[in-house]
Amino acid sequence: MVRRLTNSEGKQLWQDYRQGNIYALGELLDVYYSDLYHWGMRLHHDREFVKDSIQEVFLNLWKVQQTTSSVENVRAYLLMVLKNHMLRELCDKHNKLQSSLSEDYSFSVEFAADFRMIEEEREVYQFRKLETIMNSLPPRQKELLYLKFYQNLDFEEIADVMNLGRQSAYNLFQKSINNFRKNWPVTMLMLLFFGAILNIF
Amino acid sequence: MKNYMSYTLEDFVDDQDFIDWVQGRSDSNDFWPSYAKRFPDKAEVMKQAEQIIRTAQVHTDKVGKREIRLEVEQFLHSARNMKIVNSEVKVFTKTMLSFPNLMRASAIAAVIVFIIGLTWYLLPIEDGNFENSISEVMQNSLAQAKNDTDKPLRVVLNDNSIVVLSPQSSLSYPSVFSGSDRKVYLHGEASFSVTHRSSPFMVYTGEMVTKVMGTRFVVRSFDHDQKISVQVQSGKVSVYSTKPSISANAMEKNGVILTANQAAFFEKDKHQISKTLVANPILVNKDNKSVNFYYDEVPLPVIIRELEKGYGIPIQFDEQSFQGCRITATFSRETLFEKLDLLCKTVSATYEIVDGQIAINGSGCSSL
Repeated sequence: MVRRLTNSEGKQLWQDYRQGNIYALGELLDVYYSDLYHWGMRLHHDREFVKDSIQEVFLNLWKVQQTTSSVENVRAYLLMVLKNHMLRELCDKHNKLQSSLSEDYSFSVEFAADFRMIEEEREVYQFRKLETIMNSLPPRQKELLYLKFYQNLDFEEIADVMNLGRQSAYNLFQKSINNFRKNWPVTMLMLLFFGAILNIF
Repeated sequence: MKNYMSYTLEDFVDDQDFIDWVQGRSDSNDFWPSYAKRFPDKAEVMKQAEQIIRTAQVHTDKVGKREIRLEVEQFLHSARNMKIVNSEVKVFTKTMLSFPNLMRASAIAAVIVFIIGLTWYLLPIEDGNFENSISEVMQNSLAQAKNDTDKPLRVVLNDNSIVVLSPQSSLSYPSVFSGSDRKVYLHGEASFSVTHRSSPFMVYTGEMVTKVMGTRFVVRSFDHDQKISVQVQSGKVSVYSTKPSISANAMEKNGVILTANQAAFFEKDKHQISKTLVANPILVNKDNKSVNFYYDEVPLPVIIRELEKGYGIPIQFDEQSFQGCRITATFSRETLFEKLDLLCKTVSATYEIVDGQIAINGSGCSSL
């Protein structure tokens, strides 16, 4: 995995952009492009639409350069702005009211476990089960897990991007973790238990 | 301090250090395994957390580096052609000629005529540049941007070139560029992003001229400084003195060509231009931008050639004697000079900056 820009490096570029350095904004586009594109594709699976949206968001940032304020996490901020922009565009396109889409938008993600370093058959089985559980979670929970583990945001940032309060974001997270707890496929304890029984015979 | 003893499934899954470790991005690889050994009753819940994180993997949609570069270029292009709203650029044009201004204007005109006359007298044909620039001042009212604030000031010129003017600096420029070249006059410091046009862009700073075809660079020329400096971020610029050289020998010293990451200093008292490197060279080869340099038993010359390409700076060294040096190293965001320090230390060599290039000296390694 390519190393991401650290938060302070992102902030420095943002600072330069606010002072009128167009190349700093260009560089932000360069380093965050894959993340933004990936995120956009989750919200609406249309390559050209996503690419146009990213361009529009950045041109807009340049247009309001003099009035933008400083931000804590540039990447999280850009994800949020792109999402708002895309949802607004989609509303206009489908002649819908903004409010109807702000909570009820689609989010398509396919979680696929990382099978490297897994040697045992039963562990693969376990991962398959977890995959099924994860992929059948409600869209908002999937979005949260995606932001947490793919985009690596913290709850503060996730709350901003998902337009939730910090506590609601954390509750949503707990809800999805409980889903796993309840449906945990085969626990290690059970395996140990079976192992012990087998040993007796 | 985190209370690891009472860590729940949620705590593990929420811990960015833990996530980094599972996703293979962590620096400290031993912490979590040793944690599991120290708290055996936490081992299972930790394993579960690990499995959840490993399951939450998403395939990346591939956007190629080339595609991203094209997108960035498209953005820069459209952004440059866009009107900036709410611009705070202070521009003082001399268009409104009220009566007192008219008086002053004629006074200025008189002085200028005097200077032209004097120059004509002293330098009959020689200094065409100077005369041209002054007549242009006359024809085309010069606008002036002056930065009295303590923050950089952005000025967009008529050809969409962007100048970021440092505090206590001023720039005079024609409100509309006309003729065969684009001339601006700088006092102090500014960084230029010049749009590509067939007519050259020239920055006049006292006795030094910086000429470009479209590039990014910084010029620094405060009256109180002994030196005028030009630093090039990308593209190619030529820097030369407006004064004709005294001896034929000094001819070469009177003009230099700079490429990315190179800088020039003009010493005011000696009328000499010297070439060196910018303080912190940046990667110019965008393909390498986010890629780490990773080397495993690689001959030093290969690494040096890669650095050379990445930073666009020529590096001189004896390829033969360093061929035997094998290097294992990972570079990420170190500066060029930090990388060179490391490499040189490993093979007990030294480097110096000579005339805008890097020279590595050392006896090399005996190949076995």
